[in-house]
Amino acid sequence: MAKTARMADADFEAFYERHWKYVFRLCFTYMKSEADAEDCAEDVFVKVLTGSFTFTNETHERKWLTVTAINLCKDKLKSYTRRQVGSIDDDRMPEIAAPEEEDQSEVLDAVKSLPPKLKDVIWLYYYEDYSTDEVAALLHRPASTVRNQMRDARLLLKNILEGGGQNG
Amino acid sequence: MDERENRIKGAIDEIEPADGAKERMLANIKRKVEDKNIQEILAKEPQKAKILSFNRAMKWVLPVAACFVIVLGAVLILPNLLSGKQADAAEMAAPHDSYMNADYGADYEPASEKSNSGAFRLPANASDPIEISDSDQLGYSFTVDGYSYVFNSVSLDESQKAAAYKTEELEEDAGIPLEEDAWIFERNDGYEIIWIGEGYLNSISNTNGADKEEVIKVFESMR
Repeated sequence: MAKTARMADADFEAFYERHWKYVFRLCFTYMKSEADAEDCAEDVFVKVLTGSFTFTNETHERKWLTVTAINLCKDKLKSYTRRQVGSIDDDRMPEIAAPEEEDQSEVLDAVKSLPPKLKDVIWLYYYEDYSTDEVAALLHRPASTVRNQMRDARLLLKNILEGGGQNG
Repeated sequence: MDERENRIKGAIDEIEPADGAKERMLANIKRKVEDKNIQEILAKEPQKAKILSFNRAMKWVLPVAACFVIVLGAVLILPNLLSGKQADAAEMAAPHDSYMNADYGADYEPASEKSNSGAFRLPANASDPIEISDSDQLGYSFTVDGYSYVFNSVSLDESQKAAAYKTEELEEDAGIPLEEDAWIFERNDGYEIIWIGEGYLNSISNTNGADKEEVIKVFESMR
């Protein structure tokens, strides 16, 4: 699918239908708050509508959305930190339709609690099934750095989950 | 797919947006896009306004500037032009020889008449005399003993008579007094003798190697 100039309304609605939940989920793991996640996801789609992008296929769309969403979330987190808004502590956790099972909820909490740069690699590697090299290319980081970050992220997840009484 | 991967994927897949989130987000996206478009338009407006106000300003600034230039020109240039004409006139009255400040013309005696009148005489041994007079001064070139000389003579008015030249300008010009009204100058290219007599400022000069004594001898023969 190729899109040039600004996307037409009909095209955009189909595009939004395909990706809105994915983008929301990604943003939610960064922002933790549902409202912030929605705001961030909206901004990603605003970028799609106001920019002139050419997507060659659905995979391309998803890659673009992933990288854009990650960058936007990080920017927002930085601005929250700067403004001392309290950013992403648990007090701001929304009422969200969280996973029913205790186990899933704890895993998600563990993922959300990872530092953003580790969350990137976990998301892309485990959820998007990219290889280490692909993650490195997407995030413009050396593959060795990504591998180290993967190792750190796994260790952190294990510690968090074990500390919470779960076996990693 | 290992257990960790399954658990992470499962956890993320369990994230479900709140009810109505899809429509709410879509509405917000459209509103944000509209806001952004409006902001873009507004961002361009001040530039347009600036251009318009600049153009509007130019409508009166340019004529005012043009008037100012014309007035300035009239005030500054015209007087200079007028005084320039006066200066030109003065300059025409007092050409080349700066030390002379002579008022040529009024008392000018045509070269042929002057030479005929006996106011000066060429050296007896002068050869090849050629008159090089112009409208301002009497002039001759001639040769003595193989050396070329140029003689010039201009009339002086009463205010420019000998005393003034003797005491100020000629002496300042590094002339060496030869007689009461005569001075010799060592120029870069030879010697020149200037003398005053009968209301005329005369000079004789050599530029092809005559020594000082020879130039003085020619001068004395012309006195």
